[in-house]
Amino acid sequence: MNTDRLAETFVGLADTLVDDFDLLDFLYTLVDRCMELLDVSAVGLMLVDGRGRLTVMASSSEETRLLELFQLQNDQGPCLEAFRTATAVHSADLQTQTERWPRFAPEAVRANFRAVHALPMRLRSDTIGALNLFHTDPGGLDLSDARIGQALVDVATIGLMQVDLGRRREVLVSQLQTALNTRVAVEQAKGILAERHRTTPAEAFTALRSHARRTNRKLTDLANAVIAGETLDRVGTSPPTD
Amino acid sequence: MTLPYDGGLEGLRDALGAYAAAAGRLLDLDCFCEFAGRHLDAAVALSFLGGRSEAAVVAGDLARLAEELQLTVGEGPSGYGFSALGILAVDDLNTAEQQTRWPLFAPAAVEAGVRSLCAVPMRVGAARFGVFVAYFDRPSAVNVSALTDSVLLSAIALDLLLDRLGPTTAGGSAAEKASGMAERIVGDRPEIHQATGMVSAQAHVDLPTALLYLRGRAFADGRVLSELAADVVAGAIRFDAPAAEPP
Repeated sequence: MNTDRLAETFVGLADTLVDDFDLLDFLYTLVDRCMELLDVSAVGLMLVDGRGRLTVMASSSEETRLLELFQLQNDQGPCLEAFRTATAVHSADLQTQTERWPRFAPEAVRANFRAVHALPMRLRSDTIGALNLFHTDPGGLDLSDARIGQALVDVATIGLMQVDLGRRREVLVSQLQTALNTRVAVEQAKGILAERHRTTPAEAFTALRSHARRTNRKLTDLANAVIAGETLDRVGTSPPTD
Repeated sequence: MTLPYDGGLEGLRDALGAYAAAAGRLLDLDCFCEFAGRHLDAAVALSFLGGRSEAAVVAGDLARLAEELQLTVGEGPSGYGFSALGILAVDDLNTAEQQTRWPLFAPAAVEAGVRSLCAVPMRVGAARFGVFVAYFDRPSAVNVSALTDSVLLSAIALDLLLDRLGPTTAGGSAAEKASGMAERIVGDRPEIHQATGMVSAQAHVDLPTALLYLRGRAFADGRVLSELAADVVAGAIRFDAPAAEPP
């Protein structure tokens, strides 16, 4: 593990005292860093929405099967348990968990994921969501990855608490609502780009994310810019040249 | 423990339905505003673009005064929802900070009896339809409970508004219909939002119009919105201008 990058990540996640703090972008960063720093095959971050249900806010890939695996966990699964109990939930081999999660476990195994960690995002007495880590190898997720993952999640949520304590929960409600709406705007932007460039929404999103990284812009700012009419070059099936 | 959303949306919908039934009234935007006002102990106003002009539905003197005031002075929370994306909560209008933000509206509103307010944009992602504003006659009324209720109420208001702007989508399971909010988040149905973007680019219309086109088409075809959206995303159905006339 690149410990410099890890330290840098912790500092970055804690630095939320900025005027233009964007919760959704922050969550995308958290997911990206988990993929980079931990030995995992896939990552997804779920937040509670206005209906009290978990919804995927950021994931390491837009592959439908993966997204469905996250959403499935609204009815059962490690994420739901982690969210409800506010404790981490692990399984070293989902193939042995069909009794515990009769729908989720076989679906995960079909999607080639065998090991899972689900880590709660806790804010004092509120649990606002959960981070899902998957591995294709049974026993592929070790406890140190889970501990570091939980530390990243905790630092991230501490970052969300860096506001006037008296108004913290009100600010959180507002931030969550904005993040949920921005997430929808990202999907709308995917559609616009997909139509403009005659690609799939998934391809459009890949282009959006890489453009955001390349130009050092927030993903959500870029999505809003696309909606406002800004064009992106190099959207399509061929990979960017840089 | 989770944030105070659990079951909140369904509970509020049920209470709204019961309120309308008990009063023998149509469950329209007027009825909604009254219900919302009673629930929050506030006066509620909805402003939106109904056709070409801005329209407003208000319940309660305080909301009526505040909305009229904003028309007169040209500033205030109702215009907020059209340009901004986050929720606006004002703890006390009678402070220097608020008088700086709205030098014309704030003092006049305080004089009219408004002390705190909460404005929630009614939107589906970047598709903005209007704004829900709750006006309170006391400072510091916008606590977590009032805020989350305002968010949930604004979602119900948006459902009613979408029905008013275009036909209701037909079909769908009871769960899908009951949870109109399924259209409001990504959740299980990212296709609805992707399709909205695609239709917007195909027909060269803004996102709110694109969503109304989709809803209208789903209604006309007797289909569930998410299924129509999946066809649009797959490229099987297009809404190219000028052939795509709104129903």
